Amino acid sequence: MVKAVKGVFVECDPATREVLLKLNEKDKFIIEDLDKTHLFINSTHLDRVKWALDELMNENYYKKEQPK
Amino acid sequence: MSSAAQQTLTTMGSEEEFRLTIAEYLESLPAQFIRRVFSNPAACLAIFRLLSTVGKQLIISMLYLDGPLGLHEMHQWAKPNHQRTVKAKIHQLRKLQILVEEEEKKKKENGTAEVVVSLNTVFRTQLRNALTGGGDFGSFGIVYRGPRDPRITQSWLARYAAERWESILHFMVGQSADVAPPSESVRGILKMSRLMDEGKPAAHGENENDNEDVNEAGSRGGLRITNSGFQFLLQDPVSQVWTVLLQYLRLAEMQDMDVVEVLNFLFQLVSLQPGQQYSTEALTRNQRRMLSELCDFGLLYLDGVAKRFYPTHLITSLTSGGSSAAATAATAAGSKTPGTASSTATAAAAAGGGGGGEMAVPSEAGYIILETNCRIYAYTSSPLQIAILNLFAHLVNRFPNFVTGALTRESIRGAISHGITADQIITFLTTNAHPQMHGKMPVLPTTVTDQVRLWERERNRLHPVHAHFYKDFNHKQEFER
Repeated sequence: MVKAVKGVFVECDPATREVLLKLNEKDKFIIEDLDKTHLFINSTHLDRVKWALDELMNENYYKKEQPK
Repeated sequence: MSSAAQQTLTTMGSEEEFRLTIAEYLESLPAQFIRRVFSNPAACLAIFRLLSTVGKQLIISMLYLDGPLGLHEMHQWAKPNHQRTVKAKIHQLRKLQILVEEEEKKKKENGTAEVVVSLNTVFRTQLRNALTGGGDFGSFGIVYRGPRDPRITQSWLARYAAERWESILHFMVGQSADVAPPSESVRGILKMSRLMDEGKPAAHGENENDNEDVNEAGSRGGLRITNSGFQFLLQDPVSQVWTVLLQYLRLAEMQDMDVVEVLNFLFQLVSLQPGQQYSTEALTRNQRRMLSELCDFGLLYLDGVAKRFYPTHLITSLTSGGSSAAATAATAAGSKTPGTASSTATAAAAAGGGGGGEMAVPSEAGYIILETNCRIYAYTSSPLQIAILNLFAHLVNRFPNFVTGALTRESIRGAISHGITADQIITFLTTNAHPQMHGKMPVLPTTVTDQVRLWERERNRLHPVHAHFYKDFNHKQEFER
């Protein structure tokens, strides 16, 4: 029987996909892992996922000390 | 239509594309409206000026032909490798209903009917009238025959217009502490065009500034700037005026004002000479109402007591093809000849001369220097320009006529989260670049432009699309179905 699931189809680069897979370990939001650059996730988690991704990017950024 | 136009507004930056929006609006009008618009010579001339060079060439070639011309022959006017451009322009003119196509049964060797085109008859007569000064003079504005008010000079008008326009932009940016908020009609237009809307609470925790904005917004009657508002701020003045006028047209439509009358009057205003006084005697009630509303924007100055008005350079430079900044008082006074009679020839020549003058000095308003290490130096003391720079740059020092800062990751990301795109930031910096920067090609250092684009892409690493997922197919056939 064919099942239809509604969600969000995400296209991203492989590095981001790995990050999303890691985030998935904490709260499950990936419905299906399609291939190296595409994922299918639950739509309710979309905003939170974007925010978490942003946070992670910020963590890795080194800010130069402002010369005073 | 407004949402489609809004979408095109958010992706646009240049003036040519704005003319296309006016074209879209004209195309969407039904046939008899168009005919009424064309029956006004000023409107024909204004539309003519708004077209591209190829379009103008096509129209001028056909203007004094009384009979129709074969479409085949028109295609032959173009060089072989530019045929496609010409065909596209012909198509565009057809959509605007300026060009009319018919099938004429001519006797050809193979007996097929040939397609012939001619200019719309009404358009043709009125454009001829506009160019030769025939027909009804009143359509180009009746000059006020009384004594001149000595206070109102060209430079006064330029200053007045600049001040009004800037106060509106200030209001949008939120620097309105010392400036009175603009009138109801202006606020109405800003709200309707979604450049500003009723304040709403901040969406993300990371944007702490939004909380302050909401508090400020409460004191300003609840209006907060939107994403498209930010993009509007970064455009050059002519595009901004066009946006406002288009919104005004839509507002007029919604209020059931006669759109054709409004359009005709707008086109008439666009062809006037700045600084020349015009009488309001012959105008209808609707037109007078338009005058007072447009006055709030600084597009003209209305002297209700003496029943006259003076258009400013903001509105007259709309069709004169100037590329970037509005003329400064010096340029305006210098390049326009003092008007005497209201003949159409003088109006066209002065506007053309003004257009030439404006195009010759694009860098007069340039004030930003951008270094390869992303530092910005801006020679300005205008609080508005500083506020606009603050939108996407991190400003560090401020001196009496000079501001320094840098484009940092935070500042650009902040701008992008407000909806400004990297392209707009880059276009803004290019158009306002200091003359010193114009020596090199490209104007801005590629390191900086690339870095801004990369920061933008960093935010958009995910491309979500709402979709349905089908699984557990029993055989391949089901899938193919």
